Amino acid sequence: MKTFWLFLRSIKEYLLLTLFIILSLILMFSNDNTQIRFLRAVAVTTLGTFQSGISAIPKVFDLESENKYLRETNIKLANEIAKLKEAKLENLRLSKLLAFKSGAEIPLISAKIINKTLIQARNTVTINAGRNDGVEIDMPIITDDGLVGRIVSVSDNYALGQIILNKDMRISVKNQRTRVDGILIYDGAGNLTVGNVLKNADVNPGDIFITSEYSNLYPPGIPVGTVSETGNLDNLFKRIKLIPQVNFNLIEEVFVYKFIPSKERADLEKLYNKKR
Amino acid sequence: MPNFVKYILLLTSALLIQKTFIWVIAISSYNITPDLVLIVLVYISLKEGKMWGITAGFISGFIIDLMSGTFLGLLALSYTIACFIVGNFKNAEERNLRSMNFILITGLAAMITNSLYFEIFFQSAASTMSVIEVMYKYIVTSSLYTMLISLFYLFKPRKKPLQNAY
Repeated sequence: MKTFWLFLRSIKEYLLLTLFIILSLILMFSNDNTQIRFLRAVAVTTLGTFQSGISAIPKVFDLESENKYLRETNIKLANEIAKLKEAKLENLRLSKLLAFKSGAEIPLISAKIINKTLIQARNTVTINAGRNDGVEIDMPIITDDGLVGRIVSVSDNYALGQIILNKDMRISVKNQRTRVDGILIYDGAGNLTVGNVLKNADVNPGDIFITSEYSNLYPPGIPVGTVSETGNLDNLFKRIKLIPQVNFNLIEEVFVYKFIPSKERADLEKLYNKKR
Repeated sequence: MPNFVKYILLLTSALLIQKTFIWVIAISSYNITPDLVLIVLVYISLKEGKMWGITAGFISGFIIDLMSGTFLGLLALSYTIACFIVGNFKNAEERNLRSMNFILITGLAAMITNSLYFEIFFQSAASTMSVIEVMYKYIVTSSLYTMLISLFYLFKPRKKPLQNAY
């Protein structure tokens, strides 16, 4: 017996290594269970509390580029307002004619970004709004420019969101002009692309891709990116590169769209996939 | 007995800097980020050996995995294996902690961690990038940068050993 214990003591480092490797593998294969979600919420709260304190320090190096961006946006918005005023007047006239009942306002939760990573293949943002503000997992994150990403982890006062520059993201999108469908993919090396678009599809540089109604996670019509480059990927498909609508380097404020994916639709699709 | 308070403080500081201020020194346009937590883990493994090294490595990796919100357990696995290998370089005189060897061992640990992390990560995500592309775009560059940052450790002020005290 003593010899056995001595033997175990002599290999204790290897035993511990084996234990940790097994634990790591178990964690890798149980990424989304309830306990893990709880632990993630605790980690996000802790880090969020620290980062919200740090975010009060102004980022001096970014101020110049931010000012430039704001001036440009200001000019664009002034033009937009002029156009919108015209459109509103036209809309009022037409609505009266059609007795059109306007839809309910989009419920949005405003939040400040307290941390973001843009240098990894799986980029995220941490925001200072959480369960207490009505944020829930899978809600889309947007700005007035377009789609930012979706919530993946939430605690009482903070939430963690995957942005579209994240390898885990797959979003159904469509060309706003020609209605051509595709899948938005981030390759982890800085390229945002649209896949599954046939070679003969009508897509040109400057076209805007928006979220499609085929996606159950995002409401349709949110701008995602502008086509910067097109070419042929192979004999069948096109290679389309996008520039995100949202400037992730300068983004500070976001809105969480209180859009809950339809459970009935998700269950139905899951059931069909299972049967297959 | 290891100095737990010192190690916990060192790891917590490195982790908070890694998750908050790393953009200051990261080369964002090329996805090159130094791994400050790994430098502290190499120090712990060389000072205390494999047992404490792998324990610290697993816990740190697990916490970072939790905070990053994706692929739980991958960094924990990478750190654990790297710390186990680094722990083999521990010696009684702590020579490896006081010389250029520290930089080389940090480079080796970074290569092991990044190789495991990025190769599994990109392969699991069905990436279009080849193993070689991942190697030179992420693994080698980030490891070299981590090695470079670990140079600062050598300039750390040290207590001089007492010689001929009387």
